[in-house]
Amino acid sequence: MNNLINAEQNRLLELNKGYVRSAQNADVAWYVNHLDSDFLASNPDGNLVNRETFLSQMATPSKSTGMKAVNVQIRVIGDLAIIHAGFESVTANGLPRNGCYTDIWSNQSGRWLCKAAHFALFSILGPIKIVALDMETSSSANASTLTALNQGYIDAFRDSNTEWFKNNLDEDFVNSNPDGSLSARNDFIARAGTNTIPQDFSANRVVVRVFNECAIIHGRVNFTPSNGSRTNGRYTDVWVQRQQGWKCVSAHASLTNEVTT
Amino acid sequence: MRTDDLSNDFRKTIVELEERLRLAMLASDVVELDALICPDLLFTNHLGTLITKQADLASHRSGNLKLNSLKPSELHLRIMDKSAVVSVAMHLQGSYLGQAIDLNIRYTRVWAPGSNGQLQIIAGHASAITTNN
Repeated sequence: MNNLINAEQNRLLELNKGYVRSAQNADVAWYVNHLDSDFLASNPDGNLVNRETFLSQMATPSKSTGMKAVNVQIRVIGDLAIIHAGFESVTANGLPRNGCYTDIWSNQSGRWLCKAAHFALFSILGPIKIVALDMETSSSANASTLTALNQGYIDAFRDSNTEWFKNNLDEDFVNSNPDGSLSARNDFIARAGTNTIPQDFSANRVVVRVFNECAIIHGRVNFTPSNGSRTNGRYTDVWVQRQQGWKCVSAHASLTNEVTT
Repeated sequence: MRTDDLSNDFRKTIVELEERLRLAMLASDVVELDALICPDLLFTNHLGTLITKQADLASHRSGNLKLNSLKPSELHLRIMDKSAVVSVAMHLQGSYLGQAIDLNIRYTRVWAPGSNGQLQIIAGHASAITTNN
């Protein structure tokens, strides 16, 4: 039985590769052969399209390159299969363009046909991996330094490491808290020393942008509070290059809305 | 009973399940949600996070997520042998951790028989609707 499921998963893995490859190559014929007659697709803008409209969309070559599926999970349940995956590509101007999708396949007399596809893109600030978008060709070292400082900030916050904050927050530092209040440098450090932060507190989808002596970092955090509910947030940190090195002058953190089921 | 009748009955069942789900989400009725959601649920939310049934129920149980209004539109069904794909647009209003929610979301949900033989949601994907089309 397991061998049968593995065989089907392998077939679906190849079909999934074909789906992504055909999107890259505008291979409409592949979709004609593999989409069910009543196929439905939810586009990244939330618009729902039928098979005919989807085929006409796919006939237009994409300006993005390097399309690939990542973290592919295939579940086979009888004649039904569900593929969950992340998606990565690069836009024409070299920016990461990432997203995720859920495809539903139906086995009809031994032949898998795609019944529905739901595809969503993250915004430019939502790539899955940490990236540094360096606006100055000469400052890649700065971007690397700031990426490391960003990780230091996250680690220090999680570990209540006040020494790190004393060394890296500017004298004029101000933090905008998730509840809308402001904390000056000393208040923020005092709070950081007493906070109990879940150990899975981590950052992702980090974008570092360097503008001469100023840098802006956008990122997302995930953590699991004691109630077990996975929680997400966003932050925007502003760094300035002082004589002593890069110092964080401003941070703004907020929790993001989660919608389930 | 003819095949068409069976198909219509199945459609009706799925529509009724969707309404039960909507009401359960509105009321944060964890017992009802527990019955409607398969233990193996994988759900991609509108932020791109893949969450489990446990995490989904926890957001309701904790009171972090409060929904005041869930208005469905554009319900589309695709029926297979024993399972169904639902696409539905939903206008959500409420709050998460005290922050207001006012979103138009497109849901794709898959209903299939769970281990108990009852139809349950085994997969879902939500994303924001950014067009008026």
